[in-house]
Amino acid sequence: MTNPFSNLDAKSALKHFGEMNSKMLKGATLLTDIEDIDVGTAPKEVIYTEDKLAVYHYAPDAKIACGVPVLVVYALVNRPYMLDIQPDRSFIRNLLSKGLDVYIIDWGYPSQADRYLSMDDYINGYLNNCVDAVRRDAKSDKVSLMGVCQGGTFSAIYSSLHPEKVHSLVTLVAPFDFSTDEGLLFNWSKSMDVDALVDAYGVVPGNILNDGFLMLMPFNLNIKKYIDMLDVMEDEEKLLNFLRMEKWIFDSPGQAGECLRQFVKDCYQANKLVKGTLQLGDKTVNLGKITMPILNIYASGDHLVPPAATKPLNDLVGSKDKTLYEFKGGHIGVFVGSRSQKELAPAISKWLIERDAPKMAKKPAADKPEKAPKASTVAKAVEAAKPVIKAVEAAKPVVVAKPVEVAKPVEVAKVTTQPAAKPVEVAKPAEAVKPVVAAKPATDNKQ
Amino acid sequence: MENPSDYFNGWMKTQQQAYSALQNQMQSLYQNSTAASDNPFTSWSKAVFEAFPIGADANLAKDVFSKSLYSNEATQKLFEMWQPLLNAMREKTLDPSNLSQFTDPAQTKQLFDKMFSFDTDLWTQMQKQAAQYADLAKQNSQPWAESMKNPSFNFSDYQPDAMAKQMEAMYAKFGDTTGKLFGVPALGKDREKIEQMNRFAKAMSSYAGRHLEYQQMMQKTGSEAMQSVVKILAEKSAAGEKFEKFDDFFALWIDTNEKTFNKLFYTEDFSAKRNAMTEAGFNTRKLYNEILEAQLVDLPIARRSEMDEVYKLVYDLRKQVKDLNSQIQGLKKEQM
Repeated sequence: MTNPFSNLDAKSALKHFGEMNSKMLKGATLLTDIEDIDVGTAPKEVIYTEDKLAVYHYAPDAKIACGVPVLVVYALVNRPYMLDIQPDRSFIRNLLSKGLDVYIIDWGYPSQADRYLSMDDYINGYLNNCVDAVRRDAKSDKVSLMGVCQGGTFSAIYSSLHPEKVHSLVTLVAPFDFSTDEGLLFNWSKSMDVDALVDAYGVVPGNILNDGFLMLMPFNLNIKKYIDMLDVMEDEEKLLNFLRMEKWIFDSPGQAGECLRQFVKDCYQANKLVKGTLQLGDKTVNLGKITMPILNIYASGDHLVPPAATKPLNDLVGSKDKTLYEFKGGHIGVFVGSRSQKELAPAISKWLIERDAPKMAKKPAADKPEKAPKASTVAKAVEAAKPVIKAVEAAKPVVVAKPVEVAKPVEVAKVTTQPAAKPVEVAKPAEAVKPVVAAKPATDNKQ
Repeated sequence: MENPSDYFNGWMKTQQQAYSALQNQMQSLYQNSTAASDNPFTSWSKAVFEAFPIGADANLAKDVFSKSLYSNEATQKLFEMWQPLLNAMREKTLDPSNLSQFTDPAQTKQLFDKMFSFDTDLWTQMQKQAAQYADLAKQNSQPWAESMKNPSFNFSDYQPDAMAKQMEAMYAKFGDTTGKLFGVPALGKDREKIEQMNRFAKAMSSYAGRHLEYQQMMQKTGSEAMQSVVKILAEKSAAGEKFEKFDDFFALWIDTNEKTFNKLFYTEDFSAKRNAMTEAGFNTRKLYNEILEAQLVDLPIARRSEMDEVYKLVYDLRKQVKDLNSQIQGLKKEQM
């Protein structure tokens, strides 16, 4: 047999290695000059905080065309600034430019003190409070929910339990039917011993989940991505794009153990959401109770949340106005790809604006002048709360040692002091938002 | 010391010389004791006799002797050894010529065996036991040690399958022999800690085994991927195709590996082995944390399990506060 390696052109290979070295040297100079990798730069302000989470309101970028505020519910895995990763590839800026009034939940970084938070706490507790906060801030009876990935699952569950507060539901690449064998994560999770994981860690470190994501395409995500990085090392902008994505990928909050335990057991392993047997606190989740308009978006090339896991939602809800939207791309391409900027974000904006109800907008639901309550009844309730509040206060120094994390002041400070970056025209030529070649494969390993 | 008999022979020789010298000296001194009242030896022996009221109460003397020398079994036995001689001297019944009986090797050996707890029977027994221990150790270690001596396998060669089988065989033998020691019930006040350590060692062993299986599976797949790459290269070569750039080969290599591993990742075998490995790892970590906690129990710091209790309490209290706040808000609204 001929030596198979004889068909490698040694001269050409050597030349190539020489060029690689040259790029590395130039890139090294650029890398040392980069002081900060800025992400999530669209101007925003905090309107609500609770424990570790914060709700931000983005500064409108155009005349509000949609009276119902949109609350973006991101996944607990990874950070929500993916939707505003850089000014010229910002899903959020795109929605703002179309006249949407956008809010977003930043779940924060759970610490060990949050290990007992359950799905019920996140959905009926935090998410419900965030919805109320947005309703108050926007003076609107209802909000439109835009759930991303796991956030989409949570949003659908919430919409079924509190339909009176949800005007429209948009879900992006969110899993609902976990019985599919198409995605590796779905396969692996079925035989995963989540009890051992949660019992060992309490709050499961983000790195453990990252290891799983990297295993989905180990050669591309661990080797090729960094080899390809050499191609952009001479260009500061492209290099920064790569580094922003890299920062996002490994900026992974830990997962509250009890919530993760239930999500894996009840959803991935028992598929209770589709079966209508998922229990949250004292409530059973019935997706048939979702009656508001829904826009369910799936990505045809999604290897994290395969279309088979997303599409069944439309058959399970009770809504008459329901749209299934196919995005031709991968999981992260939904947010940062050029097609996303040109097609998807404008389509979502259009869909929401079309369903906006001027008659219900701007109702000062929570801002009515409040009458003084009867002193006796309030005093009774306050009295009952006193010992509990006292106990919490007493425990504070021990467990609430990192109040800084609650509102993530670093990011707040960054966005409030920065001037508004120039928004991207949605209809801009594709080149302006063309994804970085090297960064693209690096993106699709996360929820 | 080569062996006990060497020790005793040497010791006996020294003692015999010492007794011979003592016998000569005492014979000489005793015969001249009345004339040599200021002899240092008589002064010394007088002081000794006064200090030890031997004969009046031997047990008391023994106690005093023990206490004065901070008592230990060896010194008592030393006293017992010398007591007859001292009594004889006091009672003036000592015949220096009889001192030779002290140099009888058999008697002295017996005495000193007793004094230093050198029980010859025990020694013999211990020797037998040592041999039994050695045999047991050999029985325990030999099977798994020998399982490594596979002439067809060489660690320096890259043979994932062979290496895995070798290690599996070794672990199996180890578990059947030495590994059993980890399951022996512990005793004493540190029983719990020892049992914890044993459980941890077992968990580590289990993790190592699962990790090995997983590693072997990945190595085997990597090897298959490499063979696929070589096959593709051979086909290209046969077709007269050539890679112009290294990038092209690199892309082929990445793509072939990714596809080969992706195929593996979708198998139930992969899920099962990966989950078995991670589960074993998580259990090991859990046991490790328990050991750490046990070691830190005396330090003035909060341990993880204690903090978890606090977290749980705070979690419950937070919920209560939120519920009560919600009730208050509800009541306020009702009043409006």
